[in-house]
Amino acid sequence: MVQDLTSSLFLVSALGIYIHSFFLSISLGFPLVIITLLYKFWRTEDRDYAEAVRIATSVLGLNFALGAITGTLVEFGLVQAWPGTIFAIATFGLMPLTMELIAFIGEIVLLILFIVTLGRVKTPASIGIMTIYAGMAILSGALITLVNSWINVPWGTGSLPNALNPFMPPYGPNAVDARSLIRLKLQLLSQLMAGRSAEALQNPAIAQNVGLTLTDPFVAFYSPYAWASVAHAVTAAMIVGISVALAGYAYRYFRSGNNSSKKMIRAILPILLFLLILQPTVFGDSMGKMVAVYQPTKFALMESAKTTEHNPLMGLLAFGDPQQSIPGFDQFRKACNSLHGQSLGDLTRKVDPSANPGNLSSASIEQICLSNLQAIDYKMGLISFAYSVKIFLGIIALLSLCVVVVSVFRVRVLSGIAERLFGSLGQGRLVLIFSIVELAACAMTASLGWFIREVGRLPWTVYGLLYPQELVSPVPIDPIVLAVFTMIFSITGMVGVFGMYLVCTRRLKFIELLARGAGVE
Amino acid sequence: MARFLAWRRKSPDLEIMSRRVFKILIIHELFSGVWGTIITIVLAGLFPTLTAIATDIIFYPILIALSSILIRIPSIALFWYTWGKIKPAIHAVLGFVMAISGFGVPLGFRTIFAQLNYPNAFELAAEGLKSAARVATFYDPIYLPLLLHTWFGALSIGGFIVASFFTIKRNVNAKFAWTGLWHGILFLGVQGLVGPWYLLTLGNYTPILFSNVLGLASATFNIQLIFFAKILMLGVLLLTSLTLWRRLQRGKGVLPRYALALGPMALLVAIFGEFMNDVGRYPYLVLTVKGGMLPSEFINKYVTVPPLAVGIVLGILLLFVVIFMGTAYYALNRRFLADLPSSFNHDV
Repeated sequence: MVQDLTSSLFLVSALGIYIHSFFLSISLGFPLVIITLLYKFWRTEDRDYAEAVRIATSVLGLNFALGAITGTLVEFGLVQAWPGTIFAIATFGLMPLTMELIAFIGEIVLLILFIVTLGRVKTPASIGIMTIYAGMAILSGALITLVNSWINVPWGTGSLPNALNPFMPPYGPNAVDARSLIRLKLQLLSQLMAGRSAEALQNPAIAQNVGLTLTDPFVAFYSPYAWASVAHAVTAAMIVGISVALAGYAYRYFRSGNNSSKKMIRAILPILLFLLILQPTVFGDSMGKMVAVYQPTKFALMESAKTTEHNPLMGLLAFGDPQQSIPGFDQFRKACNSLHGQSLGDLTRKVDPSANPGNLSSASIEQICLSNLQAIDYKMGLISFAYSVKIFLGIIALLSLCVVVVSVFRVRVLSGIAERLFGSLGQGRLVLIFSIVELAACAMTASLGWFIREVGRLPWTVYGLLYPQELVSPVPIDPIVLAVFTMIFSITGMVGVFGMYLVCTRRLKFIELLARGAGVE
Repeated sequence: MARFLAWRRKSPDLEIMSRRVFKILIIHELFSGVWGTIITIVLAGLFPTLTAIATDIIFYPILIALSSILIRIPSIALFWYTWGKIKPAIHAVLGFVMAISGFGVPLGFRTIFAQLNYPNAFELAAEGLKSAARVATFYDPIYLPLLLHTWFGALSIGGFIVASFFTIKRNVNAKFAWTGLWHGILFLGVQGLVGPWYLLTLGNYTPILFSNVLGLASATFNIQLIFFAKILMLGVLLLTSLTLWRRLQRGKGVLPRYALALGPMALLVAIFGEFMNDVGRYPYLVLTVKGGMLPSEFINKYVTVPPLAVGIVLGILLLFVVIFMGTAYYALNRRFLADLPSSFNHDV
């Protein structure tokens, strides 16, 4: 029952996050598009750019409404479906999320300010407002990613995860009171079988007993994994957002064949190309290194390392040392075996002599450690395949964009090759096809990346420390209720996308609409 | 309703009014959506224990509120973008869906406030009757009067805001203002019944809040002055709106400038009411018949929140609220409405 509910809520939460991430990508990508087009307008005074800014701004406005609402629902849904996460929000996530509020409210205020003043203030002023808005959007995305990164790599918990899973490295300085964390963990575990772990957080007496857990509320900011994640995720979202704009202009160029849309394509292509090269080579590389060091099981799943492997290239890429082996599950099991003979009671008493694990006292830590590995072992094929597809799609995205670039700009030799290979399509169709392929590949790469991030963290929600079953809602949710909620959420996403399509493609003719709406015509 | 009547009566004027008023809603919905996230974080961050209780015992009401928000946002977008593109009847139905979904938000969230005042469900949960507690949230005796008080209050404020909106310079329209005015007065009249009912219910079930509001001897925190200030403002609001009602003569009279004050006054009355509801529980966060539970029982004990950081964040949030208010005024008064004629020409 608990497992069923956990699985169902996983799917609903994932859907919510993916719908939100679509709007989020536009929130991060479109500001760059708008700034670029505004700059072009400022330098050339070409009205086409101004019109393009107006339409892009309308899309951004509608997108923000949907992004804010889906974001609120995802956040509220998170504490509703996984109330155990309230502990993370109230401790490690508190300062990042509090700061995120500033970024979030700044976003909406600056967006409205931009919309209201567009065309009424000088263009550099509009560029300035949009730049600050973009800064706020990036900050918001960065801080949310920072919190998610803490769940992936619980920085500040020191060697606590390592004590339970010896194949894990220490996670930064020890900013927690281990006794408090152990007390909380024992409370969660005591109700695990009944599926009521999260109820522990409802009890003021338990909260009092757990007491001060975190000594440095800013510790999540110090995580190197978090900052690599921020750079990786934020640029990925920007790329998807800009790619949406590119596909839109390509569609318009294909349909109308006019030069105006081509100008927009030419304006945004250099930024997109720059980001698409930078993202995997610098940020992706850095992210990979962090995963290799701090999430050994996920890295092994990605690399299909059932046994420890020696691969000089991977060693160099992942650890900066060709001699370094890729640790496999055999090595992890060996590490678990090193806990042989130790019980949970021994471990807890070592940290807190007054702790009472009750009937869990005799539980073998070695067995817990091994069962953790067993729980994810079978996911190796899936994660490894997803990772390979992700890399492949990333390459497809880059190649597709290169085709668009060489067909729109004159690039020696390359333009000629593209002409010879795809010339029969005609420029409009060629740009459209490859822009759509690029968008689809980017979106799927980003989605798979997030999938690997979330599924690769299992069997834990907080890596090495807390399981999903400890955090899930104790409310027995009716599957019909869940299905209806999911359906409403999905419709929201679809209607939102349709609304943006309408904004882009149809002009609002107020008077005519009013006349027809009132039944006068 | 204006959009529905525009279709039934074939009145383009009502159509224009509906569209203009709708723009106020769009801008404020955007801003209020942001505050939904802020409240979630503040509650979970500062009062994790209380939030954990709410996500369990008040699970279904919160789900209703979330679903309502989910329906509301796309319906707002659809209402806007299908205007004049689908049959007016369908469009009007869509408008009603949008409007009704707005009522769903307090339908869910007001259970939280009812529980804070009279925690019948929390008490059942404490006895181990979790399933019964999750349903009992809807049977809290405070809930229904509070909900109706909220609904009619919001409807009344909406009417007065519309009246004020059409009094703003360059936006003056006596006919539209009158429509807002009669809505405001009508629902204010209903509040005349619901308000005292809510107060009497508090007297029966929440003696501490009741005593604090009326400044009785057993008060733990006397807010009598705020109560009387609210009643006074209510009186002024009623008097002003009735005077205006007589002067406007169904929208044909001259719109006096003081009509501008109706919306802010109605808002102020609501803010005072909300303030009393929350501060009236002081020093408790959750009230019981004889006492209550202090905020310290629910406050975050897992981490020491740096007061300076909270102060800075609060300051910046308030700064953004001020910028928003200025921008919203500018947006509604100067810019966003510039694309609409003040009256409709049938020949267009």
